[in-house]
Amino acid sequence: MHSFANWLVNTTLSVALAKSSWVVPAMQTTHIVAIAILFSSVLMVGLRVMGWAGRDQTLKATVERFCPWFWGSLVILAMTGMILIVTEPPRQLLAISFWLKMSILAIAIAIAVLFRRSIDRNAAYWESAARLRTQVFGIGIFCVWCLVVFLGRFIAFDEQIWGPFSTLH
Amino acid sequence: MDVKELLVAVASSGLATWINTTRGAFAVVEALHVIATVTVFGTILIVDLRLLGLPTTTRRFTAVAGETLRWTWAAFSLAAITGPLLFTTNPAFYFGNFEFRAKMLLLLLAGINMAVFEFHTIKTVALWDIGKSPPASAKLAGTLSLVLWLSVITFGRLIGFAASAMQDPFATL
Repeated sequence: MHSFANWLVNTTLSVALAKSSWVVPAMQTTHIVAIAILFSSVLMVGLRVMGWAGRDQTLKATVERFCPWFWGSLVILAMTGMILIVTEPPRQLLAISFWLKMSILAIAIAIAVLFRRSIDRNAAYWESAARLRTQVFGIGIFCVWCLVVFLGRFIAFDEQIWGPFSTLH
Repeated sequence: MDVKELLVAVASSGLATWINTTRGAFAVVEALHVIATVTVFGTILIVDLRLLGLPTTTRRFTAVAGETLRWTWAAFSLAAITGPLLFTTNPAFYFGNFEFRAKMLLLLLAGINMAVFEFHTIKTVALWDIGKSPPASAKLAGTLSLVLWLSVITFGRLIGFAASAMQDPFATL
């Protein structure tokens, strides 16, 4: 990964992006706005699963309402994220926070895909599922996405957070 | 006590010292501030878009706002705790920082916009609660809210860049 990051940081594109004073703040701000959309979509669907919001609508309707926002913001997050990686390769690719974030992110996306499939096949199951199950699911997905945000922010503090376990040495 | 003395007192407080010297404390508080911020903006976006009649007007505005805004307030409370905690870590810098001041002003404007809507515009909600395009005053409130909160986030992120570029935190005083 060190050699890949070193190669990437010296590419024409990376050098050009890094020279700009606005690329990083603009991409980070767009990234945060997209996180807001994704995170709130997850929150509202989670609340509906738990029966804490939107009970005037079916769960299927709620999921369908937020799905385009979820996937749309995820596409923007992937694009702005990749631009940030190309602009500052070592800062991202050598940080353990980054790889932990990507691992939890993969799990979070897998849960979203499986949940959507489950809703399409048998929404009635979720509507009538035991209270404990829906609470665990709703709070669970919220915590998983919180973890993604935490690890994302920790990229900037990798050595401080992980100490000897930081891969940034 | 003038402002400078107050800022120095905040900077040397036990709380500030704890955040500044405990490994990872600043990062954790900042991550919580991010989670609070994204929840505030994301949930407000839902209400703002509904005020613009987007994507649809098939659900009552009062239902959408009712189920959403309580989480906005919960998240705003978290932001209002974590924000001042971050401020204590370098009060002189933040106080003199242009981006920070701009963010505070924009927050105030967003609050005024919300107050005008909650105390005035909302009175006619029965006429446009469902199935009708909201009136211009409601659309204006939604648009202003969107623009102001996007600006709050933008200036909030810029504070971090100003912080890493600074040399002498007291130079601005």
